[in-house]
Amino acid sequence: MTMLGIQELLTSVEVGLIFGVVAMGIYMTFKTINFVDMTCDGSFILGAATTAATIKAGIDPYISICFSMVAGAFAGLITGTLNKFCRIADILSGIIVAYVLYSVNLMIMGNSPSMAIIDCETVFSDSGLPMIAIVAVIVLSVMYMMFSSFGLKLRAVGYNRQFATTYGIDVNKMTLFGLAISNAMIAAGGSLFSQYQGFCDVSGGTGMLVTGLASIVVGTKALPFKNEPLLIVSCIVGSILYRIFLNVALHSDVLGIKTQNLNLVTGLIIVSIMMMKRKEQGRCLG
Amino acid sequence: MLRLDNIRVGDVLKGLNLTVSSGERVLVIGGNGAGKTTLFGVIAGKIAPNAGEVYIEGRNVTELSEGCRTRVISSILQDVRAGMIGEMTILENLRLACMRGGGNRVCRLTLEACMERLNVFGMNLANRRREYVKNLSGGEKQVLSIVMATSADYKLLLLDEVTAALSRATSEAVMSSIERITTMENKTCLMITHDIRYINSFGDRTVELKNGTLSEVARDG
Repeated sequence: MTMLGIQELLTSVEVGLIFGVVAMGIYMTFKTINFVDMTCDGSFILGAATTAATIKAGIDPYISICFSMVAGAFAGLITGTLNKFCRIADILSGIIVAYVLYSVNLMIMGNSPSMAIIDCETVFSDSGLPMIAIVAVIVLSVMYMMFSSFGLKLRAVGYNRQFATTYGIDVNKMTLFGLAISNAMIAAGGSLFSQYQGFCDVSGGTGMLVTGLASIVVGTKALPFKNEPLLIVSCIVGSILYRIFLNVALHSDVLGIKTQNLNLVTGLIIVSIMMMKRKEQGRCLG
Repeated sequence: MLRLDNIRVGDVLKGLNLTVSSGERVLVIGGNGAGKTTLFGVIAGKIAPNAGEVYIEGRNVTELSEGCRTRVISSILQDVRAGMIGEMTILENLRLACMRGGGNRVCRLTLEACMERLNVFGMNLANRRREYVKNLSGGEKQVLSIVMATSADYKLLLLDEVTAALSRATSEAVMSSIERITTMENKTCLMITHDIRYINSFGDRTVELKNGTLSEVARDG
């Protein structure tokens, strides 16, 4: 049986950190503001495509992350506008925007399905440390925001809309803010991932939602904080653990799992952890 | 301070008139289906009447913005869950209450005053500020909802059947606390209830909602 080597472990941590940012974004919409946002598959690649195009145009890789975040926030705002002002259901608004973004992403990449930036300077060119610093800045910013008055209002909207309205919180405005911040984080994840792998593929965002949910499920199981701002951070840990589980499963000769079984393994990980949760809840109820 | 002019809502409220002076506390009683909650919704600006106007300090309530309305009118409902967030701590709920009607800055004085007020009720809630609201008892939640509703600088306090789900002892504690707070701060208060136990004891006067109109009830003593 082949064991997971140090290199694979480091790769898992690196990729886990990148996708942890995506998981944080997904957590913010699904849990914090209670909005079923399906935009993420599109906004992840929007971030990746924007970064690839801007880096190709000679823009600094760090600045390109900012461009990606702005683009992601804009995608989130469109989803929110469709839901709040055009009265389209949340799930459908996200699906429509993600669908539209496929064409937008192709346009950003000059109508090419992929764009290589392997020969360009990226945040990974020297070492992985700048990426760790970027993720740390995003995590600390999100934590600060969640503990602030703004974050409190954001959480209030997700927990109890009637309460939020009674206490004068503008639910529509806060939902739009939540979607913009969430999709900016997802796009930042896309930006980092395109720089990490050295190219952007227009269909690379498929299954991003499930991957993010898997990280959330693993993270909230591993670090079951009661406080929501801390729960968001557990998404990062969950994402790293999920990548390690996945790598162990794929490197295990005994289990006979191959790379093409990735989706099957992901699904099984989510189902088994959710079943563990259900079993524990059942035990508590006695 | 509050004036209802010929309010009509379907067959429920049929040309209802009421004037409440500043600092006055009025008890509105009525049987089931009399239209008490409809009246509550009309005053709070949540139900638009078919005819008639509601004025608060001379301003038509329907012309007030949502933020302004939430600053002027503070309400406590029978279902306390609608007035707080169980998944947040006592402190977080109070912070949200203090920010009512817009603005992100939490007024520290108000927050501290809220904590002091929690202690007045004698339930030791201030020392349990980090506790999640969902773990509190029904009485404790109602006390918290009163403190939250009275935390901001409101003009009118509306109470809808606040003692309906409480035990007799807790109801009396809650009623006396509301009376004490509104008297101390000289706030206008309108309490809607079907409980006739407080007909002579709460507030300055009692009116009865019957057949879609309001009539004064003579108090004993």
